[in-house]
Amino acid sequence: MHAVGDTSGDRHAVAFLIEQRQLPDGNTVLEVEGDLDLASAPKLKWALADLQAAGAHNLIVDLHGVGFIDSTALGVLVGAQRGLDVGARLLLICSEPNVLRIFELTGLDGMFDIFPTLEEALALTRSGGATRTR
Amino acid sequence: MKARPRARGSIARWCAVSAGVDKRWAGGWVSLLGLLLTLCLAGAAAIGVMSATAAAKRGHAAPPGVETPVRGTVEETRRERGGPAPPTAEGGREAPGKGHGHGRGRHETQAEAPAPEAEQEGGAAPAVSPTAQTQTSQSSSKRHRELERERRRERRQARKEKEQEGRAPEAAPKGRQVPVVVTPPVAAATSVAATPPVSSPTVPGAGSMPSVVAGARASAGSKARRSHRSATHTRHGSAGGARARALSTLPAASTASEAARGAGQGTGDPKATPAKPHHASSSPLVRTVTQVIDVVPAAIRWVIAGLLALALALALSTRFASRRAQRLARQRKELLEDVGLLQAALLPELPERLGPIATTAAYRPASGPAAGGDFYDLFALADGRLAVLVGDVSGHGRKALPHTTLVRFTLRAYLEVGMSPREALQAAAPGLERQLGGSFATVVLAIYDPRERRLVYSCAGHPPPVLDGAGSLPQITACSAPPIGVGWPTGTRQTELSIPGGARACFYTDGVIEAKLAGGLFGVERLRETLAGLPEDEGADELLERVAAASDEHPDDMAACLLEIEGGEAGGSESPPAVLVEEVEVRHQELTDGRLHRFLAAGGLSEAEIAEVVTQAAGAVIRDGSVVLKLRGGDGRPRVEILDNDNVARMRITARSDAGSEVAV
Repeated sequence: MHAVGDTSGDRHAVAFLIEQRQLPDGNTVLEVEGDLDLASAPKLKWALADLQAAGAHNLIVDLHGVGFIDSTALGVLVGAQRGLDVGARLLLICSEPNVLRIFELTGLDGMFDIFPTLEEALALTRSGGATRTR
Repeated sequence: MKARPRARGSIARWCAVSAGVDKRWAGGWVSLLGLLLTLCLAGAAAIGVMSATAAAKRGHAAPPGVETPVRGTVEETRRERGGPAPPTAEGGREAPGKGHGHGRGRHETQAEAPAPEAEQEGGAAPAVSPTAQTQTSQSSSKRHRELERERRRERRQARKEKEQEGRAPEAAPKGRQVPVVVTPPVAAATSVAATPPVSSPTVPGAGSMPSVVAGARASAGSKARRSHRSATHTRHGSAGGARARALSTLPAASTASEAARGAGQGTGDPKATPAKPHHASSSPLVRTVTQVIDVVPAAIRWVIAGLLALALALALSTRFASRRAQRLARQRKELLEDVGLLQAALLPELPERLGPIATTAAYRPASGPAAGGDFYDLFALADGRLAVLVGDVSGHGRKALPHTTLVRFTLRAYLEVGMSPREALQAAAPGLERQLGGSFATVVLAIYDPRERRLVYSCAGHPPPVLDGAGSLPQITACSAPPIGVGWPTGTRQTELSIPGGARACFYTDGVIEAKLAGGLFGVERLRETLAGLPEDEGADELLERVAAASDEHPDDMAACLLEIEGGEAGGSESPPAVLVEEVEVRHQELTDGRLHRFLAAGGLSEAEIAEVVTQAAGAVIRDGSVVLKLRGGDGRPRVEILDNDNVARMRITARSDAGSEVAV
């Protein structure tokens, strides 16, 4: 477990942090904390790129600590989704209504696999199915 | 680990702020050095002044006589030089024995006023004789000894010169002695004026009285010889000669004080050489500075000079660095302005009015580096309807500009041929996606029909318009269409509203609602309030102005298009804006991931009705790949139509208040 991003608390009320957590089943989760905006989106981009370069099959991004996503950060997630290797998938974990609403308003909720909890996301990866439970 | 540089930065910043220079680290160091330097100078000056006043006090407080060793030596010197010695001639004659050497070797006037000088400067006494020197000098006696030796050598040389000249000019020594006699009283008087801290009654004390008397005597006797004297004096140094000439022409007081000052320089400065008499004629400021510098020890003088040079070098480098930074900042600002300018150039000039609709649009580049990417267009269609286009291309700056024009004109073309907003989006999206090369665009397309007062709009990942005139409409957000270019089919949603006269519709980009406040984002609700509070004669410009004023920063571009529909006053009884139709194109995914369910639930359908619609839609999707559903509301009873490929309603499901539903096939 080590920090990928850094605290940029100088300008943001909430410090932005990305933590990479290794799960027992081999999956890696990126735990994001703080607002995902123009300033912090590149950090998520590089963290996802690192994870992909490391050969991760499931890119799991936990957005529980995120209160807001702007269009730049959505662009990062879209880019990650489109750049997935064959058979790989991007799983978002989010239960924050504000962020879910942003996904819904932008019509991207249909494009991403969004789960309310990490357990549900992991259940899907184990079953290998594509059915999403929302 | 982070604390250290931050602390250092804060010190530098503090220094810079306190010194009022550029907020850079170098500036801080320069100011720090400047402070050090000032302290050094102030310390040196203080030492000089203290030693001077202390010596003066010592000289005056002690009774004129032999109590104080310094005083004693001064008295001796005076006697040696014949200052207080009775007659001029004798004084002059006596002097060559001991005092003559003093008078000759130094400065001409040096021998003239040793007594008042000693009174005035006190500390300068060591220069007068070797004995006095040993008594007063504390720290640099060695140096003083060297200086004294040098002086003696000079004196010897001068004596030799004189001997070579021969004893012929008898008048010369006499003449030289004249100022000796004249100056003391005046010099005493100047000392009173020049040293305020010294109480005046003590100055012309008993010790100096003889000189006064002698001076008085001498001045009477010397008048006759003046012309001759001045003539002979010119040989001995120009300054001395000039002073002698001045004596003959100027009023006695001023010339004598000049002479006394010259003497002061000569006696007061241990390093004084015949080449330095110009001090006497310079301004008081220069004299003070010179005196302070003279007091500062040589080693410290070098240190100060080094510090000064360092400070100067640092100040210069800081100046250059700050000028460079200013230039770069200016260039950056110009560049950002250029981007804003280009962006503005790509934005169309709008007609103020299109039929019964007053139209305004505004664009504000981001306050940060994210300028560029927003676009809008507003134009009349052939049949009198009005088309609106507002969007935002991902990415910023120059790279985004070609994409904004591409998306704008492509969509405009599809609208121009008569497609509905949803159809235009759906038709244009695949081609645009290929050309956007990884970028994506959010956009809202709208067509307003002034005859029916109906607004039809379709969003692709873009926020829907805000309406003023009827609170917030229950717009359904479920099943929203994604942006163009994300690799997902778009142009799947469309909304039809009735907008009565007097109402306003505001189309905007996300930069407006994502403007930052202290407590978070500006948000749609605040925008709605701002729109409601906007006076009727104000347009989009003022709206964005108010948004910018109410928010702390807007990190993204802001664009807004405002439609003001006329005729509010005539139709006061008109119904408020209402959603008439929500249209959604459904594929397999919407049926399975629950989004259609949420869409229908938001439309007011019961679970049973939703189940019925989903079942019917699923069959159509299996057959055709996709199906279009129209949720009609507005009249209190939501009705769902399932359309076939030819846009013909294949099935209508009308919700009923008694939870039953009418199904018509």
